[in-house]
Amino acid sequence: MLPIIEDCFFAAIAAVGFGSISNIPTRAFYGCAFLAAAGHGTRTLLMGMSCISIIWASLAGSIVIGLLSIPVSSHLKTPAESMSYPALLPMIPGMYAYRTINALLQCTEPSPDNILIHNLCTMSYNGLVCTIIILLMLIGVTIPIFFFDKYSFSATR
Amino acid sequence: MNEGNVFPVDFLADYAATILRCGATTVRTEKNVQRIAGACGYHAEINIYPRHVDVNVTNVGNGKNTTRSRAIPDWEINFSTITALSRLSWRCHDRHPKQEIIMRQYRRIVNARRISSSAVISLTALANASFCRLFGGDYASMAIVLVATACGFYMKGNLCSKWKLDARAAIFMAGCVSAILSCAGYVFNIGKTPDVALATSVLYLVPGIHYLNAASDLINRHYICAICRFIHAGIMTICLSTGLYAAMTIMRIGLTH
Repeated sequence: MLPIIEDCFFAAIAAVGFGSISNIPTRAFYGCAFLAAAGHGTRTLLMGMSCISIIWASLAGSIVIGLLSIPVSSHLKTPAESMSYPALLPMIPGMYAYRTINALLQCTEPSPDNILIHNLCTMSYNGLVCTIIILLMLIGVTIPIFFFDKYSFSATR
Repeated sequence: MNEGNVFPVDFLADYAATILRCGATTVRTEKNVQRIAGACGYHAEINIYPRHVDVNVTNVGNGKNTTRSRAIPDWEINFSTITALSRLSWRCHDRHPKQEIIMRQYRRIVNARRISSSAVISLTALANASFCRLFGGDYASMAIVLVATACGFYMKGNLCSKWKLDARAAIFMAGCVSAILSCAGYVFNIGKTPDVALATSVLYLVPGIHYLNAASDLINRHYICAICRFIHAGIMTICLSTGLYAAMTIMRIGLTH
């Protein structure tokens, strides 16, 4: 696992890049980088130090992003979702998605039953973990915005 | 029809269609439209469909109402426009500017330029290379992902804007090209993590904002919009996965025979 500082640094760069695709306001880039570093750093810390699974660590990371996005958006006068959404993207479980596709590809090959069953299990496991992580991340980042709607929807005032 | 309603209802219908096109959530669209209508002395109700939006404006004084419907053009995520339009709604609420001033500001917001495409390509390539590092890729794999992403993203932009190709086909082709280029690690034995390079090379195509908007719409009980956005994002994901699958089949990655 990457040292925590390096992890936060690369998460921030990734969030800024994804923010540029969504054309976020210039000042929101700072908030986006900060939120991504905080969220991804939280996930890495929980997985490394507390041995929490990637599923619950991702939920915790997304909640941190969602909660922090409220004061940051009020400070930078931009909608919370313009920073929290790109900041969440570095936590996408890309390797699980890749392993799912890879196992699917291997399933299409003629192979003995035990290898086919192994590939099917690999595909199901990785696909399920990937889907659950994404669903929990969506919930984790969205709930705080609705919970503190008075603040999150008046940030641009 | 009450002629006095024409300005707010036409403007609000255009406003709603524009902010939805830019990827605003349904809850933000409703709040902003109702805020502007309230500032002008009207009450607004808004029906949001996957491809259309209806705005119904009622004059609080005489109770007469007017409805306008607008088509929502294809989604083009633009948080700068959403931010500026949200700010415009608060300006209407707090300062009650004249109609001409509101319209002038609205036109300026809508015509604002995006970040230059070369800057977006550079930042996206850097973002995906960072992604590769986060997944445990080495620096050689990062360099491969950087080049593969820049080429794929440039190609996708050109296919959509110059060649007017369908976005789904463009995503499939961009995913396939990025994945093939990122197989350089396997083909030329560059770096120790070619699998990470291949896995991360297509992640810039993941429609994350659409998934997040769908979740937000779901919580806001706009189920039709939520399902529509989920399906749209799902189709995009299938397209990029198919591109990756095709690239792996062409390059014989993951196949033993």
